[in-house]
Formats: sequence, structure tokens, C-alpha cells
Amino acid sequence: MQYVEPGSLTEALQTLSQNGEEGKVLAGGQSLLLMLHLGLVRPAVLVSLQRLSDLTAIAYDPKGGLRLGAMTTQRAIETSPLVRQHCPMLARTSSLIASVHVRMLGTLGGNLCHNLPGADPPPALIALDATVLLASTRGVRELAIAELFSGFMETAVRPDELLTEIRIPPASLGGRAVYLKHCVRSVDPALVGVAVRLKLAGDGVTCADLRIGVGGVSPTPYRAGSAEKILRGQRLSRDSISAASAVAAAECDPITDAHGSARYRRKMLEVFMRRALTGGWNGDGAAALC
Amino acid sequence: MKYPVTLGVNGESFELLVEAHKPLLHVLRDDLNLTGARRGCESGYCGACTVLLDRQPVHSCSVLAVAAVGKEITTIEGLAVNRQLHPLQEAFVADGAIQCGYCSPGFILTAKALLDGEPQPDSSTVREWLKGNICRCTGYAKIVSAVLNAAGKVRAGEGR
Ligand SMILES: Cc1cc2nc3c(=O)[nH]c(=O)nc-3n(C[C@H](O)[C@H](O)[C@H](O)COP(=O)(O)OP(=O)(O)OC[C@H]3O[C@@H](n4cnc5c(N)ncnc54)[C@H](O)[C@@H]3O)c2cc1C
Ligand code: FES
Ligand code: FES
Repeated sequence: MQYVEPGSLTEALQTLSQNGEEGKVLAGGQSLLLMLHLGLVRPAVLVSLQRLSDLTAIAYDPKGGLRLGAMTTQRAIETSPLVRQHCPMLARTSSLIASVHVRMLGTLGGNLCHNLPGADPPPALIALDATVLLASTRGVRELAIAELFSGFMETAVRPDELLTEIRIPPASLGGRAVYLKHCVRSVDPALVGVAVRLKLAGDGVTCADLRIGVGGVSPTPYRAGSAEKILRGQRLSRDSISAASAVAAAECDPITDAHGSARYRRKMLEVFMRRALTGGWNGDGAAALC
Repeated sequence: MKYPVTLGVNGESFELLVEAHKPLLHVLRDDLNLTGARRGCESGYCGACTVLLDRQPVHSCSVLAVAAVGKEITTIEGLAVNRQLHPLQEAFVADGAIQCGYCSPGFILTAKALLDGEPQPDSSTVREWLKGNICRCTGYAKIVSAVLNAAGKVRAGEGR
């Protein structure tokens, strides 16, 4: 296996384009090293992004919203004053990932491209209506975050593409946002992760808009559209929230593994969806944190 | 493929020839004989392999040696100065936070990074930082109190 550290984005994209399926991007290595160790991936060329300092920027402006370079570490997101100010839910989500050790090196781009079931950022970014930029020598395309996750540990990123940036639009910043994670050991990915972003109408009880992202309970993270539909434009109440949560639980497609059975995950989705929606509604979210 | 690299470990420079896929853990143990970095799960969970990379705790099983070039690496062997233990090491011994000792280098290095950045952590912060380290012997209460006691000593100037 060869190891290269391109010094610029252009060079990195050229290297990827020349190597096709034989090349593999290395970000923080927190998942990839394990995959290499287990022999699950066997690239001929490892293309490290660690010298691409442009990809570690965090920027905010009122028109563009929040922009995070793909190589921003999870620790940097958790501790960034900009993220804490404009999108506290994302900073908090980041702080719930694995351990300090993993967060020091693990990047947001790597987390999204690995698409580990139960990863925390994906549902949060779905609720925040984020987009990602994918660059290659052929050009740049922007994808809605939910479209990135194409299957079980699969993404829409092509072998010659790099995920370069994550964008959160201004409309998603401020307001009520909650991410709840349920896991047995706190260093584990989520058995169930639910992110809710909710806008209340002027009367304080009608749900003007809502976006729900869900992780851990199906092959890929997804947007819980049917639950959203039940609540959007309606008065929020314990009953309407319970009804929406029941629908979400009926629709999910969980697996059974050593961490929990499919039945347990489904049940917990209902519970955590209810808590997250209630938290988004009346601010009482913290009680349910893992 | 093998690459010539220079690694900066505990203030010294080492020139080595390493294979691209080799984790830093293996190079530290096998090539540099720094066996304080322990081999445990090799999957990012147990923290036995913890070292400091540019002063922050990382799992050395999850870092490629070729990617650690130009970084400051600290292992447990680099903590004592002139055979004088670091206050954290002393506190672990004094408070019974060590039994078999397999996990101790990882815990102590993680705690060092915490105290270097935040000299007065509360116990929940200590627990949060130590989440990436597993101990099968002591239970965690004595480890947490050793870290808090060491923090007190460092503040009182009774050590570094
Ligand atoms: C012990 C442990 C516990 C964990 N717990 C959690 C948890 O609780 N919650 C959670 O969300 N995650 C968890 N994870 C997963 C972890 O957060 C991510 O897998 C990790 O952050 C990946 O980021 P990385 O930078 O290390 O990526 P790498 O390991 O370097 O890469 C991961 C994959 O993404 C590809 N890739 C990386 N960056 C890019 C890019 N910019 N463009 C294109 N492809 C790219 C790589 O080729 C590789 O396939 C855990 C991991 C471990 C080891
Ligand atoms: S050996 Fe590295 S975390 Fe367990
Ligand atoms: S002292 Fe034995 S594992 Fe911690």
C-alpha cells in the first residue's frame, strides 16, 4: 500500500482521479484504520487529507449560514464558539460521539462518508436540512444530506470524489433543535438517535415547521417524513406527539445485534421521538439525554 | 511500501523505515521498545494504547505511524523527569488507582492532557475525558479521585 499526503485540494483530486477504485481517502483514520486492520478494505493508495488545512475551516455568515470544512474534527465542532453560538445542537451532538480520543482525530467528513449505523451527526444534519459539497476533477456537486446515505454503510460519494464541505442554511440556525441519543455504553454509536428541529407559530402551540432526522433504526439514517406530516401545521399536544411517534416507530426498519434487538430499538425510537418532539416543543429535552 | 520517517517521541527524534499500514502503536512497541503503550482491543474502544499527539490523547492503534510525522508524540515513558514521577503517577500509586497496571499509562496520559488544558476539572469532566479508557481491575472511583488529587497538587505547586 502506498501512502500520499497531497498538499492541495487540486493535487488530492488528481490523485484520486488517477487511482479510481484503487485509491482510498484517509481523514482522521478512526474508522478506516479498523477497516484496514480487519482487511475489509485493501486500497493500493491511501490519500491522506491531513495537509489540506483549508478543509478545517468553520465559517458563519448570515446569508450563507454555517459552513464546516470536511476535515473539521468532532472535537473542534464540539468546542467551536461559532458552532456553539449558531448551532448549539450540532456542538452538543458532536460531544456525544464516542470518546475524547476518537473526537480529537475523527472528522465530520469522515463520519458522514463512513455512514456507520447509529452515527450521531447524520440525523442531526438531516434535521438541520444540511447539504454537502462533493468535489472531483469533473467539478463540484451539492447534495442534500439525506441523499448522501445510499445504503448500509454506503454513500453517494464516488471513488474520485472528496466531500469538502458541510453547509447548514441560515433558516436552520436559531430556534428549537434537539438531538437525543440512546445507547447502553456512552462510547457506543446510538441504538436510536433522534434529531428534531421545530418552528412554532406565533400562538406558541402550533407547529409551523418541523424536520426530523433518525439514525440507528434502519440501514441508513433518514428523514421521518410521515411523523413530520402528522404534526406540521397542527397544534402540538401530548396526543399529537404520541401519534407521530407511533407512526415513526411503525415505519422504521431496525436490525437485531449484540447491542439491542430490533423490537427494543423500535420501542426506543417511539420513546425517544416523543421526548425529542416534546423537548422541541417546550424546551424540556435535556432530561432524556444519554 | 516502506517509508523513511522521522518521529518525535518524548523529546527525541527517531529515524525509521515503516510500512504505510503500520499503526503508531506497533512502531512504538516493536521498533522503539516503548511498551508503555499497551495493545488492547486495537479498535478504538479500550484506550490502553493511548499516547499524546501534539498534547492531545489519541488511540495509537488508530493512527498510522506515517501520519504522525512532524507531530509531538508523548508516551508514559516521557512523563517522569530525572526519575521524579509526574504528580499524576504519584497520585495513582498513592490512591490505589493501579492494580495490574495494564490500563494505567492510558489513563494517566489522558488525564495529563485534561489537566494541562483545564487545571481544575470537576469530577464529571474527569469522567467524560476518561470514557475512552477501560479498566478491568480498579473500578473507576479511585482513578477519578487520583486525578482530582493530582490536580490539587499541581495547582498547589507541589509538582509540575
Ligand atoms: C470506538 C469508536 C466509537 C465510535 N462511536 C461513535 C459514536 O458514538 N457516534 C458516531 O457518530 N460515530 C462513532 N464512531 C465513528 C466515528 O465517529 C467516525 O467513524 C469517525 O469520526 C470517522 O471519521 P474519520 O475522520 O476518522 O474518518 P476515516 O476513518 O479516516 O474515514 C472513514 C471513511 O470515510 C472516507 N472519507 C473520510 N473523509 C472523506 C472525505 N472528506 N471525502 C470522501 N471520503 C472520505 C474514508 O475513505 C473512509 O471510508 C465511533 C468510532 C470508534 C472507533
Ligand atoms: S488498543 Fe487502541 S483503543 Fe484499544
Ligand atoms: S489496573 Fe488492571 S486494567 Fe486497570
